[in-house]
Amino acid sequence: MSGEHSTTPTSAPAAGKYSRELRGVDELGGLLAEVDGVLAAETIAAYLARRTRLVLEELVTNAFRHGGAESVAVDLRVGAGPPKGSVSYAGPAFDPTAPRPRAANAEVRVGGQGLPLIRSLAGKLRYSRRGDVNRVEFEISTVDG
Amino acid sequence: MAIGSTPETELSLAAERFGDCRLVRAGGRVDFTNAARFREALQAEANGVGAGGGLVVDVSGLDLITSAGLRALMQTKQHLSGNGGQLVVAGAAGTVAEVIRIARFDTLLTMAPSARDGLQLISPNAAARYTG
Repeated sequence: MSGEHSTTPTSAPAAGKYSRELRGVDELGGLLAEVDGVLAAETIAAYLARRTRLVLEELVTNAFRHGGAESVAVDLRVGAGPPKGSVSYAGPAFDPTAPRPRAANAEVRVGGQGLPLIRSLAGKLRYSRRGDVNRVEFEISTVDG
Repeated sequence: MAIGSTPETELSLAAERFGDCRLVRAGGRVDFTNAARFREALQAEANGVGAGGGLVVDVSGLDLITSAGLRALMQTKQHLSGNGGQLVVAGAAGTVAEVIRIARFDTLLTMAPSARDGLQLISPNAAARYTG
Protein backbone atom coordinates (compact mmCIF):
# COMPACT_ATOMS: atom_id res chain seq x y z
CA MET A 1 0.00 0.00 0.00
CA SER A 2 1.40 3.36 -0.99
CA GLY A 3 -1.00 5.38 1.18
CA GLU A 4 0.46 7.76 3.72
CA HIS A 5 -1.55 8.73 6.75
CA SER A 6 -0.22 10.86 9.51
CA THR A 7 -1.95 12.45 12.45
CA THR A 8 -0.66 14.38 15.40
CA PRO A 9 -2.31 13.28 18.65
CA THR A 10 -2.92 16.50 20.55
CA SER A 11 -5.88 17.68 22.56
CA ALA A 12 -6.83 20.14 19.83
CA PRO A 13 -8.09 18.71 16.52
CA ALA A 14 -4.99 17.84 14.57
CA ALA A 15 -4.75 17.89 10.82
CA GLY A 16 -4.81 14.38 9.41
CA LYS A 17 -2.90 14.26 6.15
CA TYR A 18 -3.34 11.59 3.57
CA SER A 19 -1.96 11.22 0.11
CA ARG A 20 -1.97 8.45 -2.42
CA GLU A 21 -1.46 7.95 -6.12
CA LEU A 22 -3.84 5.59 -7.88
CA ARG A 23 -2.77 3.73 -11.02
CA GLY A 24 -6.25 2.66 -12.02
CA VAL A 25 -9.87 2.99 -11.02
CA ASP A 26 -9.73 -0.51 -9.54
CA GLU A 27 -7.59 0.96 -6.75
CA LEU A 28 -10.41 3.29 -5.72
CA GLY A 29 -11.82 0.82 -3.20
CA GLY A 30 -8.48 0.77 -1.40
CA LEU A 31 -8.39 4.55 -1.36
CA LEU A 32 -11.89 4.77 0.06
CA ALA A 33 -11.08 2.25 2.78
CA GLU A 34 -8.01 4.25 3.76
CA VAL A 35 -9.94 7.52 3.65
CA ASP A 36 -12.50 5.95 5.99
CA GLY A 37 -9.63 5.35 8.40
CA VAL A 38 -8.42 8.94 8.13
CA LEU A 39 -11.91 10.31 8.65
CA ALA A 40 -12.58 7.99 11.59
CA ALA A 41 -9.37 9.09 13.28
CA GLU A 42 -10.48 12.70 13.30
CA THR A 43 -13.38 14.25 15.12
CA ILE A 44 -15.56 15.50 12.33
CA ALA A 45 -19.27 15.34 11.82
CA ALA A 46 -20.51 12.18 10.16
CA TYR A 47 -22.16 14.09 7.33
CA LEU A 48 -18.85 15.79 6.50
CA ALA A 49 -17.14 12.41 6.40
CA ARG A 50 -19.79 11.06 4.03
CA ARG A 51 -19.51 14.11 1.78
CA THR A 52 -15.72 13.83 1.71
CA ARG A 53 -15.88 10.20 0.68
CA LEU A 54 -18.44 10.93 -2.01
CA VAL A 55 -16.56 13.91 -3.48
CA LEU A 56 -13.33 11.90 -3.66
CA GLU A 57 -15.08 8.97 -5.33
CA GLU A 58 -16.72 11.20 -7.93
CA LEU A 59 -13.54 13.17 -8.69
CA VAL A 60 -11.41 10.04 -9.04
CA THR A 61 -13.89 8.10 -11.16
CA ASN A 62 -14.37 11.12 -13.43
CA ALA A 63 -10.61 11.44 -13.88
CA PHE A 64 -10.17 7.80 -14.89
CA ARG A 65 -13.38 7.28 -16.86
CA HIS A 66 -13.82 10.62 -18.56
CA GLY A 67 -10.53 12.47 -18.11
CA GLY A 68 -8.22 9.96 -19.73
CA ALA A 69 -6.10 9.72 -16.58
CA GLU A 70 -3.53 6.97 -16.28
CA SER A 71 -2.82 7.88 -12.69
CA VAL A 72 -4.50 10.15 -10.18
CA ALA A 73 -2.87 11.83 -7.18
CA VAL A 74 -5.13 12.39 -4.18
CA ASP A 75 -4.39 14.59 -1.19
CA LEU A 76 -6.69 14.98 1.79
CA ARG A 77 -6.41 17.07 4.92
CA VAL A 78 -8.79 16.47 7.79
CA GLY A 79 -8.73 18.24 11.12
CA ALA A 80 -9.77 21.68 12.27
CA GLY A 81 -12.17 23.15 9.77
CA PRO A 82 -13.85 21.41 6.87
CA PRO A 83 -12.07 18.53 5.12
CA LYS A 84 -10.15 19.72 2.09
CA GLY A 85 -7.90 18.24 -0.51
CA SER A 86 -7.03 17.91 -4.15
CA VAL A 87 -7.15 15.50 -7.05
CA SER A 88 -4.57 15.85 -9.85
CA TYR A 89 -4.02 13.98 -13.08
CA ALA A 90 -2.51 14.44 -16.52
CA GLY A 91 -5.00 14.60 -19.35
CA PRO A 92 -7.01 16.92 -21.57
CA ALA A 93 -8.14 20.11 -19.87
CA PHE A 94 -11.33 19.57 -17.93
CA ASP A 95 -12.75 22.14 -15.55
CA PRO A 96 -15.42 20.60 -13.30
CA THR A 97 -16.38 24.06 -12.03
CA ALA A 98 -17.50 25.19 -15.48
CA PRO A 99 -21.27 25.32 -15.88
CA ARG A 100 -22.74 22.70 -18.17
CA PRO A 101 -26.23 22.34 -19.54
CA ARG A 102 -28.17 19.44 -18.06
CA ALA A 103 -29.77 16.87 -20.30
CA ALA A 104 -33.08 18.13 -21.61
CA ASN A 105 -34.69 14.73 -21.28
CA ALA A 106 -33.71 13.83 -17.75
CA GLU A 107 -35.82 10.68 -17.88
CA VAL A 108 -33.27 8.91 -20.03
CA ARG A 109 -30.27 10.43 -18.31
CA VAL A 110 -28.58 7.61 -16.44
CA GLY A 111 -25.12 9.12 -16.05
CA GLY A 112 -23.79 12.59 -15.47
CA GLN A 113 -24.67 12.82 -11.79
CA GLY A 114 -21.13 13.14 -10.49
CA LEU A 115 -20.45 16.77 -11.37
CA PRO A 116 -23.58 18.21 -9.73
CA LEU A 117 -22.76 16.24 -6.59
CA ILE A 118 -19.16 17.46 -6.57
CA ARG A 119 -20.16 21.07 -7.12
CA SER A 120 -22.82 20.99 -4.43
CA LEU A 121 -21.04 19.02 -1.71
CA ALA A 122 -17.64 20.60 -2.22
CA GLY A 123 -18.69 24.07 -1.19
CA LYS A 124 -15.38 25.45 -2.43
CA LEU A 125 -14.00 24.08 -5.67
CA ARG A 126 -11.01 25.43 -7.57
CA TYR A 127 -9.62 24.22 -10.86
CA SER A 128 -6.14 24.93 -12.16
CA ARG A 129 -4.01 23.54 -14.95
CA ARG A 130 -0.25 23.46 -15.16
CA GLY A 131 1.24 21.91 -18.27
CA ASP A 132 -0.97 18.91 -19.02
CA VAL A 133 -2.00 18.38 -15.39
CA ASN A 134 -5.52 19.11 -14.18
CA ARG A 135 -5.77 19.92 -10.49
CA VAL A 136 -9.03 20.21 -8.62
CA GLU A 137 -8.93 21.54 -5.07
CA PHE A 138 -11.97 21.15 -2.88
CA GLU A 139 -13.22 22.10 0.55
CA ILE A 140 -16.26 20.22 1.79
CA SER A 141 -19.35 22.29 2.41
CA THR A 142 -20.37 22.57 6.05
CA VAL A 143 -23.86 23.71 5.17
CA ASP A 144 -25.99 20.95 6.64
CA GLY A 145 -28.09 19.67 3.80
CA MET B 1 -19.27 -8.61 -6.65
CA ALA B 2 -15.84 -7.17 -5.92
CA ILE B 3 -14.34 -4.99 -8.59
CA GLY B 4 -10.77 -6.10 -9.26
CA SER B 5 -8.90 -6.56 -6.02
CA THR B 6 -10.46 -3.54 -4.48
CA PRO B 7 -12.16 -3.96 -1.10
CA GLU B 8 -15.90 -3.71 -1.29
CA THR B 9 -17.75 -1.29 0.92
CA GLU B 10 -20.24 -2.86 3.31
CA LEU B 11 -23.67 -3.22 1.78
CA SER B 12 -26.47 -5.40 3.10
CA LEU B 13 -29.43 -6.40 0.96
CA ALA B 14 -32.54 -8.30 2.00
CA ALA B 15 -35.53 -9.09 -0.19
CA GLU B 16 -39.14 -9.92 0.68
CA ARG B 17 -42.23 -10.53 -1.38
CA PHE B 18 -45.65 -9.01 -0.73
CA GLY B 19 -48.16 -10.15 -3.31
CA ASP B 20 -47.21 -8.65 -6.64
CA CYS B 21 -44.55 -6.44 -5.08
CA ARG B 22 -40.98 -7.05 -4.06
CA LEU B 23 -39.29 -5.14 -1.27
CA VAL B 24 -35.52 -4.80 -1.06
CA ARG B 25 -34.03 -3.31 2.09
CA ALA B 26 -30.56 -1.86 1.62
CA GLY B 27 -28.19 -1.05 4.44
CA GLY B 28 -24.70 0.40 4.66
CA ARG B 29 -23.34 2.28 1.66
CA VAL B 30 -23.71 2.04 -2.09
CA ASP B 31 -20.65 3.30 -3.90
CA PHE B 32 -18.32 2.50 -6.77
CA THR B 33 -17.08 -0.69 -5.15
CA ASN B 34 -20.44 -2.40 -4.74
CA ALA B 35 -22.82 -0.67 -7.17
CA ALA B 36 -22.65 -3.60 -9.58
CA ARG B 37 -23.81 -6.00 -6.86
CA PHE B 38 -26.55 -3.53 -5.88
CA ARG B 39 -27.75 -3.27 -9.50
CA GLU B 40 -27.64 -7.02 -10.04
CA ALA B 41 -29.63 -7.66 -6.84
CA LEU B 42 -32.27 -5.10 -7.77
CA GLN B 43 -32.60 -6.38 -11.31
CA ALA B 44 -32.88 -9.97 -10.08
CA GLU B 45 -35.85 -8.90 -7.95
CA ALA B 46 -37.23 -6.81 -10.81
CA ASN B 47 -37.20 -9.91 -13.00
CA GLY B 48 -39.80 -11.40 -10.67
CA VAL B 49 -42.16 -8.45 -11.04
CA GLY B 50 -44.95 -8.62 -13.57
CA ALA B 51 -47.01 -5.90 -15.21
CA GLY B 52 -48.88 -3.91 -12.57
CA GLY B 53 -46.48 -4.95 -9.86
CA GLY B 54 -43.42 -3.21 -8.61
CA LEU B 55 -40.25 -3.06 -6.62
CA VAL B 56 -39.79 -0.96 -3.50
CA VAL B 57 -36.21 -0.20 -2.53
CA ASP B 58 -36.08 0.77 1.13
CA VAL B 59 -32.97 2.92 1.51
CA SER B 60 -33.64 4.00 5.11
CA GLY B 61 -30.76 1.78 6.21
CA LEU B 62 -28.27 3.43 3.84
CA ASP B 63 -26.07 6.22 5.08
CA LEU B 64 -24.50 7.00 1.70
CA ILE B 65 -25.21 6.50 -1.98
CA THR B 66 -22.98 7.86 -4.74
CA SER B 67 -23.69 8.44 -8.41
CA ALA B 68 -22.85 4.78 -9.08
CA GLY B 69 -25.77 3.77 -6.87
CA LEU B 70 -28.08 6.33 -8.46
CA ARG B 71 -27.28 4.85 -11.86
CA ALA B 72 -28.22 1.41 -10.55
CA LEU B 73 -31.58 2.74 -9.38
CA MET B 74 -32.26 4.42 -12.71
CA GLN B 75 -31.26 1.32 -14.67
CA THR B 76 -33.59 -0.75 -12.50
CA LYS B 77 -36.42 1.69 -13.11
CA GLN B 78 -35.88 1.44 -16.85
CA HIS B 79 -35.68 -2.35 -16.61
CA LEU B 80 -38.98 -2.46 -14.70
CA SER B 81 -40.70 0.01 -17.01
CA GLY B 82 -40.01 -2.31 -19.90
CA ASN B 83 -42.04 -4.99 -18.13
CA GLY B 84 -44.86 -2.69 -17.02
CA GLY B 85 -43.65 -2.56 -13.43
CA GLN B 86 -42.89 0.34 -11.14
CA LEU B 87 -39.95 1.30 -8.94
CA VAL B 88 -40.41 3.19 -5.69
CA VAL B 89 -37.54 4.40 -3.52
CA ALA B 90 -38.58 4.58 0.12
CA GLY B 91 -37.20 6.02 3.32
CA ALA B 92 -34.46 8.27 1.96
CA ALA B 93 -33.00 10.42 4.73
CA GLY B 94 -29.86 12.32 5.62
CA THR B 95 -27.05 12.27 3.06
CA VAL B 96 -28.94 9.79 0.87
CA ALA B 97 -31.88 12.18 0.57
CA GLU B 98 -29.46 15.04 -0.03
CA VAL B 99 -27.68 13.18 -2.85
CA ILE B 100 -30.97 12.22 -4.48
CA ARG B 101 -32.18 15.82 -4.30
CA ILE B 102 -28.94 17.33 -5.68
CA ALA B 103 -28.96 14.87 -8.59
CA ARG B 104 -32.65 15.69 -9.09
CA PHE B 105 -33.49 12.01 -8.92
CA ASP B 106 -36.43 12.95 -6.71
CA THR B 107 -38.00 14.21 -9.95
CA LEU B 108 -37.11 11.06 -11.88
CA LEU B 109 -37.95 8.38 -9.33
CA THR B 110 -41.11 7.79 -7.35
CA MET B 111 -40.26 8.51 -3.72
CA ALA B 112 -42.10 7.38 -0.60
CA PRO B 113 -41.45 8.18 3.06
CA SER B 114 -41.51 4.52 4.15
CA ALA B 115 -41.56 0.99 2.78
CA ARG B 116 -45.24 0.64 3.65
CA ASP B 117 -46.05 3.87 1.81
CA GLY B 118 -44.02 2.64 -1.16
CA LEU B 119 -45.94 -0.62 -1.31
CA GLN B 120 -49.20 1.31 -0.98
CA LEU B 121 -48.30 3.41 -4.01
CA ILE B 122 -47.95 0.28 -6.13
CA SER B 123 -50.48 -2.09 -4.64
CA PRO B 124 -52.82 -1.66 -1.64
CA ASN B 125 -53.00 -5.46 -1.47
CA ALA B 126 -49.23 -5.67 -1.08
CA ALA B 127 -49.27 -2.94 1.58
CA ALA B 128 -51.96 -4.83 3.49
CA ARG B 129 -49.67 -7.86 3.68
CA TYR B 130 -46.76 -5.79 4.93
CA THR B 131 -46.03 -6.45 8.58
CA GLY B 132 -43.19 -3.96 8.98
